[in-house]
Amino acid sequence: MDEHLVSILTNIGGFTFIALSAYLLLLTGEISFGQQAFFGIGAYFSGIVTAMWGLSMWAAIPLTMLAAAFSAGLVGIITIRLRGLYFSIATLAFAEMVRLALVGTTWQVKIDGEMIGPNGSEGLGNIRWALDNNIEANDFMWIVLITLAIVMGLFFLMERSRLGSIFRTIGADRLLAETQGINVTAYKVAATALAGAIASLGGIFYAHAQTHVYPENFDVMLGVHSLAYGLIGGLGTALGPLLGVILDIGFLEAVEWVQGYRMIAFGGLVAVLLIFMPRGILDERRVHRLRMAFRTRKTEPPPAKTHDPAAS
Amino acid sequence: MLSVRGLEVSYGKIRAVQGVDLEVGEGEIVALIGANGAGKSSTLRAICGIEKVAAGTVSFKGEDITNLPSHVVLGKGIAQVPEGRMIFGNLTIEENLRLGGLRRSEEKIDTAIADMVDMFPQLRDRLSERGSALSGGQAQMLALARGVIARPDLLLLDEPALGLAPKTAGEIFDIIRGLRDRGLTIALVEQNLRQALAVADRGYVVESGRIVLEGTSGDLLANDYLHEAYLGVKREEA
Repeated sequence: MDEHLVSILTNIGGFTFIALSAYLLLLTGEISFGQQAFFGIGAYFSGIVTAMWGLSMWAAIPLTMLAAAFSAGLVGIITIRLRGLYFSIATLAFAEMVRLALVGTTWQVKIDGEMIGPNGSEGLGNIRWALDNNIEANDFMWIVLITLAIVMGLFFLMERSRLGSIFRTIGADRLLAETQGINVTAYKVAATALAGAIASLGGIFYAHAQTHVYPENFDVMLGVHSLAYGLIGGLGTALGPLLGVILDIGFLEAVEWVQGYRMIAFGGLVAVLLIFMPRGILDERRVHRLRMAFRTRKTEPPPAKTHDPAAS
Repeated sequence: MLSVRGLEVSYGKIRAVQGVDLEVGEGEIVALIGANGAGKSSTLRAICGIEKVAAGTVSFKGEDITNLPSHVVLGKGIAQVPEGRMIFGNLTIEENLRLGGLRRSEEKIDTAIADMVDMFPQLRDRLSERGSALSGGQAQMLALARGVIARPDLLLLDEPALGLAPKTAGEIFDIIRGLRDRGLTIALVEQNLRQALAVADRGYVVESGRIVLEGTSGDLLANDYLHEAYLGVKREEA
């Protein structure tokens, strides 16, 4: 496969995880400007696990997701009384704290004569697990895409389960959700932790694809993009954030003649969609119609067999 | 079944409920009647844990449930149908109904939904439609059905006929009567004196956060003060 295409598909996969994490919080009615923090924690923590501790990426994935879920859960508990704009500002502040902490952190150890580890604004390099294990870019892309398919599958199952209804219910009306016997506080902390873990997956793959990450990779623009992906693609299904990422990275970033104007086009797209489709292209109403149409088609009886004398 | 003693609810410096005492017995329909801002809904919301109780106690089946979170109160057997026909417009009607039975098994919810569509035939063919597609009356029926699916011992209804056409409001009160006949205990908040007392066994009249009158529906309907204050007519004219 063409190298450029492999790189784009790997990026689409990686950034869809952070888009899904922002989408999960949007379902519960919260706008987080801080999901880049958990993407960054994912990149750094997994990089430390593979480059400094010498473990495989497969070991780094659960460890990193647990660490990200724990830190996100803490943020969820601290911000549980905050809603709306206040929650958004708190998450943004947390993400900036994480980024600045990474800028200020130097923790390097000598491994095989090389200094390895976070080095302030110079970032964390030598994340060579994929190279050392002869995993080609093409194979790495499939690892990312298959993991994404699994996560998307879990999202589809979740959305059809009680848990999905509970998250959407909390997002629609927190008070009404409480009167339905839903422990809103517990579910919101759980959603925040889960979203953190999902965002970290994107960071893990990003770090191991790039081999070197910098604190500036996880700035506020990444958080804004992760939110915008769901708002563009739609909040009716987990396919919405994926569609948003495909439109941005797959089209605006990949197509040469748009590249110089990418941010202008992206900003314009977000503005237009917020006016005409405030809950995105695949919003709840459109997704419901599609589901109904699909169900009707599936339940329609097959056409009656007629005898055609001319054929016999 | 439900006993409220000296209940007080405050919003900042405003005391919306000031020492309310009320009782709801098993199998009864009890109405809280009063004008807008009298403190009826605040009382109901404090009972089910949505508003903080500043003073007083709420006990249910002999157990103190004062200031328990609303999801715990529901677990004790008190369901609430809030004011304004609050349903989830983005969820289908079936998903709305299923939310009512979050604490029940899937099979029991299936049976309960079948039971509810028998009681509310308007919903039968519309289970896969979104809640936002329903009219006001149908949305209220869905909200009622969702409350009943939780299989509560006590159902709290906050202005179930608010903003509905008289015919639809009549249907809603018929359904409420039907629920009582099935053994459900109901506490009802309502502004419409006649409609509320026509369906209730007993009533409390709330003014400025206090109970000013209480009695059986017959006694209250015969009360001269209520006729003048709420119906705007002297009893001889009514």
